[in-house]
Amino acid sequence: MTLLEVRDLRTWFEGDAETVRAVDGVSFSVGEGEVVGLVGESGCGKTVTALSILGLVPEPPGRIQEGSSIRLGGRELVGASARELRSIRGRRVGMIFQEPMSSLNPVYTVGEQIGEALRLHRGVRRREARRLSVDLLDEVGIPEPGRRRTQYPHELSGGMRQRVMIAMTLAAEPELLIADEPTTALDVTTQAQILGLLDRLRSSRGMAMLLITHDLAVVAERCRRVLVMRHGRIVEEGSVEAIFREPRHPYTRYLVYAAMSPAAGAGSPPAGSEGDVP
Amino acid sequence: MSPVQEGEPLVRVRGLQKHFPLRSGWPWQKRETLRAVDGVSFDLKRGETLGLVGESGCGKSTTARALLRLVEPTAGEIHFDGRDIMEMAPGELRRFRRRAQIVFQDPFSSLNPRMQVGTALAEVLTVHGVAADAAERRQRVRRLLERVELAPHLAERHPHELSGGQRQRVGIARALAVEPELLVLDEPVSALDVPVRRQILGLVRNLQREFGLTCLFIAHDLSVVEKVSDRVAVMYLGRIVELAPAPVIFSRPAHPYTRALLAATPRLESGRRTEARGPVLEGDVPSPVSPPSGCPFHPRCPHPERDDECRLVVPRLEAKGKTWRVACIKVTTSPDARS
Repeated sequence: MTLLEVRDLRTWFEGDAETVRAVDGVSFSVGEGEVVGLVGESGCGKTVTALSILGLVPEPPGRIQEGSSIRLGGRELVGASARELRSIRGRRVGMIFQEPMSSLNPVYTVGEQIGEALRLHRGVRRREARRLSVDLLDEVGIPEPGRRRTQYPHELSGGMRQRVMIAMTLAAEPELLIADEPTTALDVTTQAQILGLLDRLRSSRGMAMLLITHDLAVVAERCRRVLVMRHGRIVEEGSVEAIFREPRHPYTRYLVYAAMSPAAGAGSPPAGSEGDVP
Repeated sequence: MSPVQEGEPLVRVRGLQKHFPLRSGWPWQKRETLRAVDGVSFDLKRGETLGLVGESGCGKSTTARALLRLVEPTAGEIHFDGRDIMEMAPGELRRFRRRAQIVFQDPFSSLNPRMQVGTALAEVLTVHGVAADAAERRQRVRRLLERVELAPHLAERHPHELSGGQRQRVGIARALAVEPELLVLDEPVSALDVPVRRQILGLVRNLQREFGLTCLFIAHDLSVVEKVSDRVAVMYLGRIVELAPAPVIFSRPAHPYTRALLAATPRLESGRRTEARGPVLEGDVPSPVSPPSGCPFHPRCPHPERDDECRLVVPRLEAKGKTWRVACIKVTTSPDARS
């Protein structure tokens, strides 16, 4: 069953001189319980795609253009009222970001913040929220959850903070989790922990996931299906095996080449598609 | 990579320590110390590139800074071309600074935002008295940009008008301006996208070959140093735990930490998940303020033979083969003997 269906999404930003077409005609879908990878270099529009799904594009200057459609479980989100969006954002669709510190409130304990999410999204009582927040911290692999609950974000390591963010997101029991570069700011061994955790949670909770990253190797390990994005468009879509074994679009070929270690991908880079993203 | 010359190494580091005293809350409290670098020894042979790898807080950047005398070591010796850098007089130190240069992770923060790139590079030449007059400076700047594969018209741009990759090329050009012998690259590609990363690594490799530079290449990601290093040193909590030729580190790592680090690095060609390649380390790196007793890695070590001895004995970085050194009391065989 299709959970998320994005059709011809165009999100543009009006500048003083010109209009930036950050997302320019993107279509894809995510099935229930499926993990889809969205890869591309910085500035390709992958984050704006995620923000559009959550109805978080700052307007103005941003604007989702006429004819764009984002359907979650058959319900149209483009043009939905602020109230409708609130019932979806953070509840049916959760999101985690690269830098958890900027999404956590520094003056509240992590227990209070998870409790707030529980009360807001699930309407549980304060006492119950306290108990459930300890359970959630335990579920995301935080040792001594009872003690950690009373700590502030600055007292935790980067990996712990990301786990807290994940726990907060899980509080609402979302059907879809959008993870935008969830491990880019972390060390490799912590990255492996967090990616493993997301995998386990996805299968135990039957959650779908859109994993956004610039790192093809991460996608190769964690996803079945990949979308390759460039200049606001999806240039190639397919199974992980197909894309890495026989990339068809020259840009995908270039990305795959760049991600290969020298032993595996010797030789000169494929022609075309070089240089920085304009 | 450039040919590595045997004989007297360009840099010799012995027992390097750098401890930072921490401010305590109250005067009667014991002052704590952060042991950023805790006994590091290695050589940099002429023309060699040593990759220095470890996770945040392992002391790799502090080691680099001590090497250039940007921080004063607490203990230990650093010799550059046979001279102790801590004993250099101001004049000699200035000459040393010309011979040893550094490239930082974020070139944006080391470039003057109001200065055109060309002007900034010309200033380096003026300060170090490299060029005789304005005409020669202009010519040298043009040549520098050429060396780092930047179009000449970019000299008139300001740093904010450049992409991340272009800025890092300017950072490298700035370091090369004084024609150094030693180049320290501190996480030069960590902030860049993968394709741009590969271009910059290719550039570094060309420069090594062309100028016979000796490099210390610092990264937190093993896959990055693989492309440019002759030898690799892996650091954990202020110490080197394994030092070996790059092919050994990548095909037959011996230290349990190196193995875990390699397993955790996502790779495209393996097609296998991290969990299938080796154990995923649990927990976080302990604080360098209160490092564990004995082997600093023992609380997280997945080695099957880990025992009480690991908790008590501080392992030394010992030669286990001709070119291979490892700090683990449970590793006995040489890498050549293992398959």
